[in-house]
Amino acid sequence: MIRTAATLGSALLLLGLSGCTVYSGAVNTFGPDKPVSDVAANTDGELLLSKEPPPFCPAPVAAADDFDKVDKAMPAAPIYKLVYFKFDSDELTEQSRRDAEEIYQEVLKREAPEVLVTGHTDTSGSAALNDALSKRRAEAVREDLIEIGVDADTIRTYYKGESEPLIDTGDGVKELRNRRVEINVR
Amino acid sequence: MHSAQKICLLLAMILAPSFAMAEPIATIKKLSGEVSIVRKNETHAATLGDRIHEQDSISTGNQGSIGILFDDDTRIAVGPNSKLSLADYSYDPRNHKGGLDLKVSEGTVSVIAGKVAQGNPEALSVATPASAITVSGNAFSIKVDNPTKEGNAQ
Repeated sequence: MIRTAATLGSALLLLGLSGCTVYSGAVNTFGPDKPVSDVAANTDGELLLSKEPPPFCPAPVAAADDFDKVDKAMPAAPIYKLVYFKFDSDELTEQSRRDAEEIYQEVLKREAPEVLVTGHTDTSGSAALNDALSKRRAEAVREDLIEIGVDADTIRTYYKGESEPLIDTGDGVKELRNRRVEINVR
Repeated sequence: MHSAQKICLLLAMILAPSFAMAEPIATIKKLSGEVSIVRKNETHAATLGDRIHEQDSISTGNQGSIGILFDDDTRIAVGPNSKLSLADYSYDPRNHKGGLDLKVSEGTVSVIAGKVAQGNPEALSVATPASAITVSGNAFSIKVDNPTKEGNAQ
């Protein structure tokens, strides 16, 4: 939109400079200050300058206010945030608890919000246990969202266990950055 | 295999692609004024939060506007007195590949490209009655006048 405005601005400037405007004494900085030709004094007939824009000038493509209503209808950009969990737990770390609260508030601000919640674990422990743990983490975030008033039908949860680590550690490694839930607000 | 099973299988094979083409692909996030959705020749009023399907058509009234968010995070906003069709959409969340073809027959539309355009600058295309545009930028707006309407006569 900024680019559109800039293009329109320079187009208008260009039109002004090239004389592609209907005659107006107020904006005519280059020509005479009234719409009367010097030739008029030497001719018998009446001579008036045209008040129509010159025929070779391009018609304006779109006025800026054509897009005012469109811009207001543009949905907010989706948010992707990670929150982290204590070891072998579905309890958020202190910092992530605060981050999560901020994200939850953002959900409440949106029109027709949807939230996609995806749970992950680190590679410590068996794959089966980690599947269950990642599910519990996603469910914990889901419960928080429902508690603050988000419609349960608009929340979708997924769980990936240890299968998609953020940090590649190899198996059997405790890694905070892998013990996470991705919250996608849309 | 029984002949009844064969018929069922045949029907499933014939019908499956047509079901696949009408998949939900986006959600209505902003709505004001009169906006209708045409799906399989049936027109109904748009509702905030509803899903939009591939091949749906959208038309807005005098005061109508609508904003929708596609599954790949592409966003479009449609102004008053507009008509467009979501002719083709595909998106694979695993590799972010896909594309969106919009057909705008009249009105004002703004688009902010999502993930489908990240790896493939030709993923977004817009067709108007006058031309087809492949969009390589991240965001753009277009206005299409309807030449058949009064006031826009040739």
